[in-house]
Amino acid sequence: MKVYTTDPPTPDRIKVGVAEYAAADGEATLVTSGLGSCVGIALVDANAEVTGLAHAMLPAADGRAAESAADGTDAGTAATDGGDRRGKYVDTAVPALVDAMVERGADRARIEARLAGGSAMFDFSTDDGGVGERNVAAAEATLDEHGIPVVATDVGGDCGRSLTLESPSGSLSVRRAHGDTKTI
Amino acid sequence: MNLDVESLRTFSDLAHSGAEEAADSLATLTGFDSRVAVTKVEMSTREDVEQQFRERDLVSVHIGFSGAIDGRTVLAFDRERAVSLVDALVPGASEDPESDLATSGLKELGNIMLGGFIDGWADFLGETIDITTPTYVELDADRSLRDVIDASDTDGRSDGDLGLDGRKRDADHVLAFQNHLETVDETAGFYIYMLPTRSSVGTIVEAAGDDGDALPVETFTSFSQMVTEGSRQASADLTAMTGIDTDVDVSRLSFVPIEGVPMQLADEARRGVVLEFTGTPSGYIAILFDPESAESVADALMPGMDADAAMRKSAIQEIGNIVTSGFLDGWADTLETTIDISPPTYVDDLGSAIVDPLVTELAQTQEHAFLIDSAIATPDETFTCDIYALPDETELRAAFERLAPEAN
Repeated sequence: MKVYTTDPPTPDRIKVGVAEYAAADGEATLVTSGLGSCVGIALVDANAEVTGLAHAMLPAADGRAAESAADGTDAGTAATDGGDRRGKYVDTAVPALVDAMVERGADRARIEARLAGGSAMFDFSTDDGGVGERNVAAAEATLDEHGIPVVATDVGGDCGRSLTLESPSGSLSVRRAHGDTKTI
Repeated sequence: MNLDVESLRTFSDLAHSGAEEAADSLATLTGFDSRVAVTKVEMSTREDVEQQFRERDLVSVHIGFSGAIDGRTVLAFDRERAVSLVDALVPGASEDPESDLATSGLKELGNIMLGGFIDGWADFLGETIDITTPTYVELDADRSLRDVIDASDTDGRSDGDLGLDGRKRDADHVLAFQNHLETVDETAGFYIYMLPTRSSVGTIVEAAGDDGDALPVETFTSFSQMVTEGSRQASADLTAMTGIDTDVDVSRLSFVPIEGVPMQLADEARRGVVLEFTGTPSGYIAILFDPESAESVADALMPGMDADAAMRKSAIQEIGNIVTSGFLDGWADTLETTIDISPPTYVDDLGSAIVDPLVTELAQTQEHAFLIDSAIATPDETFTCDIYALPDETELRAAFERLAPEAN
């Protein structure tokens, strides 16, 4: 039995976890935290008032991401059950996020991108060429393949970032440790 | 009973999909969308689980299960916040969160969510699992979770190795499945724990199949105890260095989907060091302090000095070195191997972002991670030191093999 005393609430703040992506329309705030070498990809179609945010860990899936979401939902979760892993990899997260936005009424031709993250905080002996840098390069290349222009970036460096994407404006706030925030 | 990494993956997947079922049930019941933030397979004792409840000041609903597998599931939550969701189920409940009405709503919530969680395991095993009626438990100083579980267990503890003294209880090192769910707007969170009996763990391992490199479950226990010993040594070294008494608050070994690791840490500033260790096993370690703790530790190391930022930084680095050595030296002894430690890199950044690059390195070759997390704290809360260690999975497996009883 389902008894609602009020209408079910519409979430206006959506948390995007590591290796996840989510799309939203209308008034909403999408957040993701703790980007080190991971890259945050924020997309917006301002006309359609549709936004999307992905938090990707690695540049390329190389066949490791499941091709389709099990239940066709528009939010990819960090699936551990053999389901949707597309949010984990830059080259699968971008098309998945674009599809989720188009489902909500976005026009591929109008989507613009902002990128943040991909820093190089440590110099590990195992690190061949910096995952952060490769994540950013993969994001730029994949967005280019989809004809999506990158209008602003805050990438690289040696510090972590947390992101807040405002829908429908598409403005992206990048917060660093000690409260240093800038909007791109 | 043997356990292998493949079985752990199966456990992790089952627990994750069970938690998703529970999240769906919550949405159907209350209209609140929730997400499964983290799923962990913990090699813990019941005491460890209880400790987590205390840390977070949680109340809980318990449901026992029996049939194909036996044990107990617990839905733990912050009462005030959970009651706001229960209002959709029992109208008026939120007007008096302490009322019986609210409690019965919470029990119903537990019934539906935990029922959903258990269903997935029954499907996997292809057998029936019955659940008991829910019990509402408010933990307080006089009543521990263990007392509640022991009092309400009616199966006579057939596994039988739960003694009265702490040493014997340590022998009841079992797997606990912990899932953290939160509403998408992060206003309310739930923890689902599943504590299967030891023989039930065996049942699930058998059903999951054996990929040939299974190790006796005691191996994981031995490793977990080795980690605890390392934490104790690190605590003793920290005390010797600062002159302030410290205790090991937490020492856990868990198996988690790799992307779940950064979500264990707060999105707040942390100071400390990150080091790389190489040997059997290799991996990464982060020794982190919240800003106040970092100040306290630096002060303790340089009493009465007007230390500048550079001096404080090097004090933290030195502390990181000492804690890491204390933590890891015992591993090398126990595993009869050498573990080399890199110079420390000082960090002052968002906690989750500090761990992210460590996880990303490992994620290139593995989908899950063994996460070791320990907390060393002073009884008077002068400072807390968090230790996170992430060993490489393949090498850790080699280390496990050295610990396997047959090898001794």
